[in-house]
Amino acid sequence: MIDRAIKLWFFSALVWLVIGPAIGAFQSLQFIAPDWMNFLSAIALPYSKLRIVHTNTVILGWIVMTFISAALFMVPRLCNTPLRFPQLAYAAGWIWNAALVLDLVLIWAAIPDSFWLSIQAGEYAEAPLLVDVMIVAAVVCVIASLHLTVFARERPHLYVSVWYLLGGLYTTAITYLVGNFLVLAFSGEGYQVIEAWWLHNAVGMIITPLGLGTAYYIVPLAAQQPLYSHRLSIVGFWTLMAFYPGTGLHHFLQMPVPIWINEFAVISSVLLGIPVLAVVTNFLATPRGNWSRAFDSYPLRFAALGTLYYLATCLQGPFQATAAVNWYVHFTEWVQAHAHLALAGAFTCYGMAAGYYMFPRITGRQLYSRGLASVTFWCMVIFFPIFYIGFTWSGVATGASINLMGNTIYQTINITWIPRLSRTITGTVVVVGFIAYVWLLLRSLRVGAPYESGMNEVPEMGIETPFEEARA
Amino acid sequence: MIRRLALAATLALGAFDTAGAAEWHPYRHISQAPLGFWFVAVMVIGALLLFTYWAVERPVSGREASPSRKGYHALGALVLAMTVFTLLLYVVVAGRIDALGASDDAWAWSPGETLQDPGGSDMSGEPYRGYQVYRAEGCTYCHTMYVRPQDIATGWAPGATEADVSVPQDFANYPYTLLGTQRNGPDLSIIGRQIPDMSYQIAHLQNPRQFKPNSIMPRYDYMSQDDLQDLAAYLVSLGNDPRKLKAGTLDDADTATGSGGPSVPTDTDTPAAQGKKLYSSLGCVGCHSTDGARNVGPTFQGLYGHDVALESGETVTADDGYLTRAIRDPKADIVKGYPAVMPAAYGDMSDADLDALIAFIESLSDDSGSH
Repeated sequence: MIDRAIKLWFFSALVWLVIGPAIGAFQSLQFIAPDWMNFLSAIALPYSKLRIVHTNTVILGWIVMTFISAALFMVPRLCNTPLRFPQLAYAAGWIWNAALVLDLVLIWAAIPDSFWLSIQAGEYAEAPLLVDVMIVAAVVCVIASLHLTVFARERPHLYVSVWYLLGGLYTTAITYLVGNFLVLAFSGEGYQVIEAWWLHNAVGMIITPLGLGTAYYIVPLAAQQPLYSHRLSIVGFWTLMAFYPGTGLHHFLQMPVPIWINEFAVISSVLLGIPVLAVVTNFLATPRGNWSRAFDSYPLRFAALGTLYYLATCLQGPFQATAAVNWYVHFTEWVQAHAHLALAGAFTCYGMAAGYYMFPRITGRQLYSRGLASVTFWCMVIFFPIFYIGFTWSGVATGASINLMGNTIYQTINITWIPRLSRTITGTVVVVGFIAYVWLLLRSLRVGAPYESGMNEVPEMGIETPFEEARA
Repeated sequence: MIRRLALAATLALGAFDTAGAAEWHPYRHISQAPLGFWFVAVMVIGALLLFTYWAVERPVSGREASPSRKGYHALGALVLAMTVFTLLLYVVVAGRIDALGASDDAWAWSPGETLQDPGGSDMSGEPYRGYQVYRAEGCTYCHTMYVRPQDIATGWAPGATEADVSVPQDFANYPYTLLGTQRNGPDLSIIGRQIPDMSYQIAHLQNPRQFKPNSIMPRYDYMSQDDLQDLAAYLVSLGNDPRKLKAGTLDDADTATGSGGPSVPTDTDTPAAQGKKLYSSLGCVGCHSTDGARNVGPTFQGLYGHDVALESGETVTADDGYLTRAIRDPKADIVKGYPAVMPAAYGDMSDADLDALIAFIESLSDDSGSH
């Protein structure tokens, strides 16, 4: 049952990984060849709805599901005790999938005036209330299962991953409640203020702690080195939890709200440098002296690459949140590019690192092709940055055209199609990399060599040292 | 229940508020934040920075030492306080914005109220339901619904004036807001004032490239006629005084001249310079470009003194007489290939304004001096 629960979350996430990014790459054609996309109107699914489908599928489907499968895998191992009430986690997996499918159907249906079935107004909180209830129920089930496991642990000390994963699930539930239910108590622009609180915490309090907790588990094991500093990991966790919640209004800096609350959001954003530097230092210092392990370990490669993207995105974030930069990039695709650097870059890398690490250990199969695994890695190394640069370029060009040259948005289309074309092409390559990853795992289910504890994830590569056994 | 709690929190933190509710202004500077904000912010952020310093710098006996159990508990309580405090800050701001109430000309349409098309057709629609359709169709992912002060002089908000800069009271009658974070298309705050015509709005929704050949907007031709009419009614209601719309006395020139700000022409300007300001403040810019680009209406570049083909098959020369007629009575001559959607209300402008506007259009033709 334990294995079934983990596998359900793990393989569901893979399915959503095929769907979500592909929709994103496909819908970007709307920006360069809108007439090709007229057929989408014939099935009542134009860009505006497809975008909601894209964000919901990627965030709730791929990223959160894969990290919850990682939590179900890692927390019991760190507590040295089996998962308690795996039936709850298993049921939650089906509830979550059902909620997502229902969510997508209701986005397509676009019912304008139903309390339970209309999509909500908040960005990333579009899921109708009926779906929200299901998602909260699923998260509560997972929390119950995991927290009971932690209570029954056989090790007194909690490794930092447990802090992140369990704490991240609690903040997921809380943030979700605020963004989807508390917000209903407000009207007018007050609604937008509470929605802003949710908007950035959907990333900061849901995805970030879950992703970092996963990476904290992968990095020492894959690098076969003890964590660089436990003290630093504690600093990172608590400052993240303390500084993140206030940042949301930096998405609406010039909205008519009191300046001081905006300043508070910007100060919070800049203070995030503390947890970010703590985490990045820890991750990049842990494999010191043993970086050659990266030749043998795909989990380590992806975790390190994800950390570099995480550093980039977290340096960019406070930079663009300051008013001096924000006036120029606000409303442009610069911001979307930033979001892709975080989610499609950093956290997808962490998700894939967890996938490469967990897959042999939950299915008993090694990965069948070293070459294909390298393709997925170099795709993220080479094409993802080009994709990101094209995306950002579009935002910079739009900002210059409209803010500085006085052109209207309509006139700006005449220049932005070039970076947008680059974005579509390289984005498609990145999506192909994702699909190759899913294909690699699914194919390995059938043809992969049997895996036993101590082996590498991929045949004919360096074997694990006893370090892992010593921990387990 | 939640609303009551929010109100209680507002009052609790408001006790520290030295400025007083009456003086509270949405753009208030950070130096005027409530005392409670500074007190708690300094306390909590300071304590966290101290903790960080302590955790990193304190002497340890072994290579790896971690905080004691007591330290963890203190830390947890501190962080919890910070998180709750942060949420409270947002709740307080949201609650106080709600308490500001609506301004007189704020958008105010209740469920069931209908709007008669001011563009002259016999269509009508429900703006409130249109606003729900706007949400359900995801319009907010490409269009924003607020004008920032710095948008006025830029291409973000053509035709908007200082008076159009958004304030919280503008949104008070909405149960939820769709301000938006992305502008792949124009801001829609004043779209109803720029093009108060439901027929045009519906035709544009169904096939945007019919009017704007380079538009990247999807077609919304799959929507039911009811949804389209309600959505069009909502778009027409944006930027227009709801009292006038309901009474059927909409007057574009009237709403545009009350603008104030730098766009209002002065007597010391040349006629062409005055006309340029009117071009912006009256909202001509919403439909007519000055660089040759095709928009809802014909471009003004190179228009003056050149031949214009009409729907009737005739060809006329765009001279003073033609331009005057085109502004005073837009339905008289329809330019070939363009929709007959220009509002008739511009006909009420003064002769001096009209002359200034024509002088501006004339200045956009290279050979304007030769006529």
